[in-house]
Amino acid sequence: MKFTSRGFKAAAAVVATASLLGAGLLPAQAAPKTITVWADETRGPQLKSLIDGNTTIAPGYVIKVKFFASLTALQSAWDKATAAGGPDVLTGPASFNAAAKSGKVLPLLYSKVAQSEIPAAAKQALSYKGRTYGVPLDVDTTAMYWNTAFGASAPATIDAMYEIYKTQKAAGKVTGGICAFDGTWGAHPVLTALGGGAYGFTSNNADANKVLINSAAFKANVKKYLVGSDGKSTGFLKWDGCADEYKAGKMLAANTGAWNLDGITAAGIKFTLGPVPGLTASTKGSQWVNYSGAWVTSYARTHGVELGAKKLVVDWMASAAGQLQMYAAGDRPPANKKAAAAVKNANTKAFATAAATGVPQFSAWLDDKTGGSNWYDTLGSTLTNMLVKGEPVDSTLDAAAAILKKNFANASK
Amino acid sequence: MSKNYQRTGSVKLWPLIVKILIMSLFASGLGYMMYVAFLAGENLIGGVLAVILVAAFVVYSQKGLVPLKFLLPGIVLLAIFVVTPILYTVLMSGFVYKTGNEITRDQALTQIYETGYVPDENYTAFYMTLGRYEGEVSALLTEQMTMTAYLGTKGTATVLDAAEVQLDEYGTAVGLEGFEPISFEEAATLEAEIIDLRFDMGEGKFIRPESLDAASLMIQAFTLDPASGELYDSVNDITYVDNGEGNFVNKANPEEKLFPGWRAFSPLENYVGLVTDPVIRGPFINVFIWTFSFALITVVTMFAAGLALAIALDKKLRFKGFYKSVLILPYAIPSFMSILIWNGMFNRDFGAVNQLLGAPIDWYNDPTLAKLVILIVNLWLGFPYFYLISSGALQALPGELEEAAAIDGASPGQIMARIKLPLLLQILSPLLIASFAFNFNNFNIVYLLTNGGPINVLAGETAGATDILITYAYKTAFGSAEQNLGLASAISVIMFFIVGGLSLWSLRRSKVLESVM
Repeated sequence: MKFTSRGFKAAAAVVATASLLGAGLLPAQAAPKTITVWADETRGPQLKSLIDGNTTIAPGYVIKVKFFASLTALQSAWDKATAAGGPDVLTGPASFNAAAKSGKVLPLLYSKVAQSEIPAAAKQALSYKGRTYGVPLDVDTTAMYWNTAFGASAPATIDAMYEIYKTQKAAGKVTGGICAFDGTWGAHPVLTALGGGAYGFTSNNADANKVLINSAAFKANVKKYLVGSDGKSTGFLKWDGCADEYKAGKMLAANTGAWNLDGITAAGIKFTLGPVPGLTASTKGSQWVNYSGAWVTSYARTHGVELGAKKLVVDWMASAAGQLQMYAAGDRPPANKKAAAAVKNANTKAFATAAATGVPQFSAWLDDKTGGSNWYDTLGSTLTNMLVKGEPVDSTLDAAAAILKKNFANASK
Repeated sequence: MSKNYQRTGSVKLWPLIVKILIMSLFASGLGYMMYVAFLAGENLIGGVLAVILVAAFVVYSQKGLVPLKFLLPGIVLLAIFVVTPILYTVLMSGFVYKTGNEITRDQALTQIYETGYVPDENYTAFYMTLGRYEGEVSALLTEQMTMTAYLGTKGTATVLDAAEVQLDEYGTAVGLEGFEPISFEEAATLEAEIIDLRFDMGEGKFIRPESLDAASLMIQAFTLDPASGELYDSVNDITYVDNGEGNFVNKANPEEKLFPGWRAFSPLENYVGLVTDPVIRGPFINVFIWTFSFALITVVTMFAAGLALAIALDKKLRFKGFYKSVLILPYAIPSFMSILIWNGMFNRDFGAVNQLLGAPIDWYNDPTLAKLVILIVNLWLGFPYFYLISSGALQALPGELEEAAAIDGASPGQIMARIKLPLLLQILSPLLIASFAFNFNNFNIVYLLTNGGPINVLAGETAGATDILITYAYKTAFGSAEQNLGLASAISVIMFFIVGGLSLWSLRRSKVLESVM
């Protein structure tokens, strides 16, 4: 190899120019105590407007909010995160609590104030193997949107609702009864209204031994309301691709969250909000009540901001004051009991009322696959087998229960 | 070139300036990436970037090495985007790497200790004022219920006499003679030191900071015995041992694992699991068979359809150009659009197919029908390609052969079956093999059309009826809250060898390698 003097000169020139360009590229030394918060495209802008650049919530630290184009993008980034660019605080759905199993989030100790203001069920939903990892930010739940074209108010019982469905269907006015907008997830209040569901929940505790999907009552009611004389679906419950039918006024009711308020209103549907009616006037269906949360990641320790991040999460994000500020910016029902009591909006209150009859959605239980598949896939196959393929109700529900028993037993250890 | 440089000043100067600028941009960009990589502790990546930078300087700053000037970018990109992912996938397939086993052993132990900090039964909490006492980072602690003040220093908490402590308006200890409070800003810079503070309270209990102004009374449940490697949980009286597969497990009940676990290197575990674990083996074999069947049937049907059309359009026809253009259309439309449209057309309730047939056929919930849908749609997407190559190959066949056969009394069918088809297969076999390899990994058609379904989990199925290896690997890696990246990597490695082997065979058949090597 023979280097010419011109080559050396050129190389020297490149180094000199690159140094000048590089000096412009290199960032100023980053603030050493920055707490980086990750959020999705809806919560992110709200948090940015509230706490980005804040130095008073966790004195000694500056908060930086980074948000992603979608929840999927956030999830994907979180899956691939490393200490190099990972967040110190992660916000998102309760399913992120699964990171506790992999040691990617840190256990949290609630302050006395947080202990008293955070609902026990919310704390449990953000726990794994007995330790709490996240704080709940807001409530993700559903309510029944009753189309008032079929009656000024929702029927008091599911039987009355079924009778209306049969009449309207015979008249050719509807193609379905109640639509679970968000798939099998949104079908849960109908299942519970009929005596089914995932696990029992009493006194703020989920009961792993009480698998409800094959209860005698549910079996009987499935045959009465959901399965027709041909052995297939009556059409009273739809859970897949029925949103357009509801928005076209072809279904009596839909079960979904506040995130569909605008779309349903824009479609011109007039509705009332409330829980799915039960078998008697005094009982109601129980929808899933889930919580969005915030977690301090293990990267916070690597970045040397663990204590500051814990202060941000426990003392501000979980507090009534913090949640009311977030609610004002984003209309999400606060999880903090004191903050929830201070909310005045009618729709938010309607969802809160519906949520009062709900069952906390424990991701660790519902995602467990010890029995072969998780709750969501199991329920999908169960409904498909019974209502689409026309397979026998009893044996189908028993098969589902066998899977779920193993899942819940393992998750509750 | 050097003569040109010497002839005029402009020719000599400007290319040099442009070259310097391009190299400078390249060097500054790469230098910045190196800086970020080293800063983040990614020394391997930083080192590779440094090698690339040096190689670029060596190659482009001298007159010689002309071939390398052209080859270097390709070599670098090949190494980064092809070789590295393959090597990384092979490496990952040798690890127990799944949800619950994602971090290193040291990190997992740190996390296990973190979960071992158990608050006392009363959840005793303290207000905390940080400061220095006798030169040590210390804390004034006020128990929140009793408002008893403590000095936490040098690993011990000592009760303070109320008379010697300065209190704020809430009764919290904020001052003591010899104690110099530090600001939050300063405390933040000392976080690494503060986070490890422990003030002994006796009986195994200690006060531990929870943030910069709060602390809690705790015990540490776990103790690691370095000699035996056993981890003892004093709260539950359980001894855990390393199971060699990335987890501490209960010594008395090895099925009971402690999480988080770690990425354990176990080179054959995932491969052995594919063969021996019935939960994995069953679906894997079914998926493997369907993947082969799908790729084979797809190639055969597409080739048959394409060839039939090529033969039909090989005759003199009116509007032949129009027919040819129409036949190319499915190939011209982006495949994902076509797949989504077909997806809607096979919808049981609203799909055009069922409306035409007048029957509510549930295409997607029956395993056989779902497979048929995939084959039909893939045939639609792929036959134009085979029409094009068959048409070209037919044109290339020497006409004399057909004439000679006809003179010898061969029928058109015999000419096709015994003369043209063997010749076409000889010409097109590398393309058929390449198409087989492509369809072996045809992720889009399966994912967009059926998402691998239907799946009947109640019957114990863990893979969909139409899942092929690539979709199965994707679902295994990313499909649910429980991910298994190690197993997915092992499946990918197997696919790599199958597709790589087929490609090599194909290239050898077409003698492409011989012509260039």
